[in-house]
Amino acid sequence: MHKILIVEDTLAIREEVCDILEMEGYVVFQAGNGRVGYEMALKKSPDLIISDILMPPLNGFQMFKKLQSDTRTMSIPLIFISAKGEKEDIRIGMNLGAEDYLCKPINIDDLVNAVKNKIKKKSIIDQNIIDKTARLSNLVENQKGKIDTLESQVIKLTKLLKDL
Amino acid sequence: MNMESLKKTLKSEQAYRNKEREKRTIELANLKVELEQQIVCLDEAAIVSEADAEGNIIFANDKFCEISGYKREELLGVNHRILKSGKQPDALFMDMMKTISNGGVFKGNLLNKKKGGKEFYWVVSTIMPFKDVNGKIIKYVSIRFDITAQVEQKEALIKQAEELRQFIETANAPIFGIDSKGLVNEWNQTSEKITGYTKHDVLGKDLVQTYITEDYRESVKKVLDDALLGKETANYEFPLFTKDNKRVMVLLNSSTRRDISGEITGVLGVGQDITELVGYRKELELKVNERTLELIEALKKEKELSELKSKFVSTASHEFRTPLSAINFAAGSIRKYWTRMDPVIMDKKLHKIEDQVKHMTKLLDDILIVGQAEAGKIRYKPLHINLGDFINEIIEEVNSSYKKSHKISTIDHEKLKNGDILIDEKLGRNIFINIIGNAIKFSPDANKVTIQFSSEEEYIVISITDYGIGIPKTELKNIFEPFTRGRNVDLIQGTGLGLSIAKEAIDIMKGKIIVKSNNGNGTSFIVKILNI
Repeated sequence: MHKILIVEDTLAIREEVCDILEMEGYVVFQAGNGRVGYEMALKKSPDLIISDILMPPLNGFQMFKKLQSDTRTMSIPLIFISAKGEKEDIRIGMNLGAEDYLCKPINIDDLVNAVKNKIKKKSIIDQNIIDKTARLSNLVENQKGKIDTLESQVIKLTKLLKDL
Repeated sequence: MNMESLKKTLKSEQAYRNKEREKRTIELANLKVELEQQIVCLDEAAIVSEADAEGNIIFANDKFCEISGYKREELLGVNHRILKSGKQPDALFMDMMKTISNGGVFKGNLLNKKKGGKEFYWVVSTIMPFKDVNGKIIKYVSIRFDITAQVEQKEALIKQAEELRQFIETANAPIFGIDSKGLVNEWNQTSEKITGYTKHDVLGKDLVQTYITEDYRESVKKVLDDALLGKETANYEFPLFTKDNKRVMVLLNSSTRRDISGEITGVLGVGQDITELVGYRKELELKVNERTLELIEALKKEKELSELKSKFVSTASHEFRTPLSAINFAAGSIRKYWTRMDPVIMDKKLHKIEDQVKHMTKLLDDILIVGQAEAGKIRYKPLHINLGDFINEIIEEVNSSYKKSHKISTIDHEKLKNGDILIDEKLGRNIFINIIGNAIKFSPDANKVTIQFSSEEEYIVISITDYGIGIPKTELKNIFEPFTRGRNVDLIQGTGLGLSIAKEAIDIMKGKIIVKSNNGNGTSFIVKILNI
């Protein structure tokens, strides 16, 4: 079950996004502004964050910057949803490193697809990491076995030498 | 000595004498000819007459006859007095008689009368008494030259000069003159009239030092000094002091005054009283300034309006996007998940769609009201309605739209709610729905709002007090501007139009609105409505 954090100050929208994502089978956490969003991200380690931009006291851009500078949250992908639909606004969001920037009002399928794709990508990356980790663990395990064998041989040899 | 020699001597003596006589005779003859010629010459040039010791004419030359109009025979034997014009003072003639009867030569200009006594002629006359060997006066010889033309010319000139004087004196412009030392030597009637100073007051006074206001002394002095150096100035404006201490604006043209030989003798200033003109000009300038200010004001308003419009466009687009977004999501959810959606949730979403449409409608209404107010299109149709009914209805409406989150209590010691109020219902609703709504909206952590009724001399006073977030002091002055929202509104929704709508309505009703607020400590809006 993938976890998604929605950060949005307008309750009516937040609720809807939450409902949609739950219908799609995600676990959803909600935050009403950037400050709460940041804390939730630390606490819940979501797989994806969907965030509005204009939210006092900490807006979406500021929250994202904060998340990016924290090693615990820097790898969490983020999608901006905003009523600010100017090219410049979109550019700012994307330059910060956002995965996507959707302008309100947003088509539900666009939202669902965007979420799906980002989660999938995140999963693949995560899976890759898991695989790599597993391979490394195996390797380490193997090495450890070898070392153990060598060690027992050394002990045996030492014993032999003492006995002589 | 012998006789022969005596005879001889006598003879030669005789011959010598004869020779001498002959010589004299020739000499005399020559002298006579010369004299005759001189007389002819004199007669050609001058008017000549002779009178005996009694003054009776004994000789008159042709010129005399010609100019006097008498025939010679009419003149001879007649006393010289017949020529007297009678227009010259007797003293002149007494002086003349005294001079010549004492053997002196008289010289003078005399006015003579022609025959008939109607025409006159001027002569410059030289009269010399002729004496016999004993010194006794035997006759008077007069030699005259006709100077009528010169005298007439001179008289004409004098008359002309007099006319010019008169012209200056009576000109409808102030004309004044100064001499080379800057002392006044001309001061015409208009100068007197304008300044109140008479000619007698000013003649001989220093013009600049006495009559020019201090701030202009230097520059006026320069203009006059320039004129004294031959440099004339046109249309120079300066103020003169009047006798009653007023300032008269004069437009001056200064010209250099010279004598016949071209020497500069002073300055003649011809002015124009432009006090009135300056007054008009100042008035005009004032008007122009006023108009300019009005235009600037209008331009400022226009700019404000255009700024408001662009602010409106950006704010409105954002404000509309939010409910549209919510509607879009809710409707999209129902479409996408209706087969497996809990009917309760579906119902909630449909309600939400309706709510959001309502919100948008409210936003649209507010914007329309502001638009009308900006265009001055709001109509004011006041009616007498019961204050209690009016307010209660509004309280109910606001209460229900905020889900009864607050208790709205009213304080009405004067029982004003039982009476009527003259109000335009629509404008009144604009005021109280917004203010009471704000009271609830901006006090999320409180649970009550108080509405107090009281009366002042000509107003019914309705105070709405909340215990909410308050308004920062620095923002109090802007709260009635459209699309203005306080820094401390946080998540509280709004368009920033409510108070500007309320204020506009109050202004139309000629009421008053006062706000008292402490940031974080609640707000009171005191609305005063004319009690007629």
